[in-house]
Amino acid sequence: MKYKITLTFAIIVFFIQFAKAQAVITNLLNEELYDARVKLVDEFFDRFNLKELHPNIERDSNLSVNSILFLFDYEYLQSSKDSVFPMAMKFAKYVVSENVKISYSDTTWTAVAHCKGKLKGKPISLTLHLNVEHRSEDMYKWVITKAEGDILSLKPSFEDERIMLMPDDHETNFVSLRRITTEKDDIITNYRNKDYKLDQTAVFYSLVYYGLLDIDMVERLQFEFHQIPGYIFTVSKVNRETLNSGWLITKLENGD
Amino acid sequence: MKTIFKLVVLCLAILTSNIAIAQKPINDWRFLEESIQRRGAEKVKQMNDHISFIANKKKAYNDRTYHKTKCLNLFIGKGNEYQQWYGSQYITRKGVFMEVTSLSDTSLRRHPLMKTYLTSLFNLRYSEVVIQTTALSKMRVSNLQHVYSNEYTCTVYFQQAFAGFRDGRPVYIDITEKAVKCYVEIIDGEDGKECIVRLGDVHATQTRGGTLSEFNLYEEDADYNPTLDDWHARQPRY
Repeated sequence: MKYKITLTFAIIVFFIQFAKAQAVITNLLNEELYDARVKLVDEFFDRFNLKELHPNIERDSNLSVNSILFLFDYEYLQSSKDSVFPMAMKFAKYVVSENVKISYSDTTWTAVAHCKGKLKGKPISLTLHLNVEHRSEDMYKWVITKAEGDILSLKPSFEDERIMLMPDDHETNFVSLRRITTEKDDIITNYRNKDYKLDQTAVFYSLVYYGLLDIDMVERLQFEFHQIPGYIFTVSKVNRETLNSGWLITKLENGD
Repeated sequence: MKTIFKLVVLCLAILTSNIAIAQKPINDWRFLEESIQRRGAEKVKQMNDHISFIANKKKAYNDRTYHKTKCLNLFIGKGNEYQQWYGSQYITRKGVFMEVTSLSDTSLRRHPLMKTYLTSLFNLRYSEVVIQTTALSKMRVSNLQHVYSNEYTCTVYFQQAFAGFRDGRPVYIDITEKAVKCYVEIIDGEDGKECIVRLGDVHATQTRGGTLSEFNLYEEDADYNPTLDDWHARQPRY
């Protein structure tokens, strides 16, 4: 009898704990925050083009302008530079009055991926710029347009005027080329033409091609938009437990 | 008795109508995209249901193993290494992976294979685990992108709350937002176009603790030209 009572009590306590566990989890997934969040970049496009609205926005005569303003990171708007808010307001009014739309297929927006990876096993950072490219019909793809990073600059470990191919090396069949590529590799760019501008993107492709460079993760992703005449804005992921979160405009500048 | 009979008839009607909709051939492109998006979300929901089952220590080991197999079948290559044909040769692709972050270091990301991730759910160091995810109807699906011939992709976004308990107390809680790649193939079925959806890599884009804050909406002025101070006064408190 005692055993049955103890067992019953233990079962009741167990289910109470489980119910409490469920209650904790139920409170964590907040539907209002979820609906307000700009969850995908596609959703940013839809809200910018006024195909969708922030769920909490007032439906009044200023709806369109406010919809654009709601796409700004609020903390950016209230940053130390007072010129940001009036500029944002001007930007929003311009977008609405000129009925400017942004589209996935535009060539004037760029993804900027700040990457972490490994070069010959050692941790490195680099940045890749990507743009949308039309393939055929209704098909597109992302392409790498630029790579940049310290490890791609091939900065020599040291420079000296005397590090050079000798003026008479042509007489020895340029046997010196064997030396410069086998003795100390990391000063190789000392031997370049003075006007030569190193193409970091080509360096990136070469390192990956020969299995020397791997990207482990994209640490931070941003998008730069040049579609609005006179403006350049940057969209980044803002993570907060508020109704102003997700993919938001985190920077606005005057453009060409 | 009559009421019960009516309820049974109503349930049967609902069930059969859902089956009919699921089997309806897709011939109109306008509805094709929506159908594909819905199918993608359904597959992700299935994935989440399997994951919740696998992580539930109260379930029998054999049942959890069965759900692991069913879950892997949702993925391209069934979670294994697979060959992808490119017209003249194959490229071997590594198995689908699940990008995992933790509260302790959000800049650190691990990329275990999906198989490895699902296996790890068997051995979580909590006495109890509760996983909840966004409802199917609320999952956000990206626009469909045409990639080749009859192949398309889209991404399904959802949030997941995870809590690990010991002795009835939550010792670890996180909320993760995830984006799941979906690969879609449109084929010609007997009654029209049908789509096959396979899931790809799962990306966890952020992990944060389960704390919430209030948001206050602002009221609009009749002449809408607020100063920055006005805007400040009306913005949400964090």
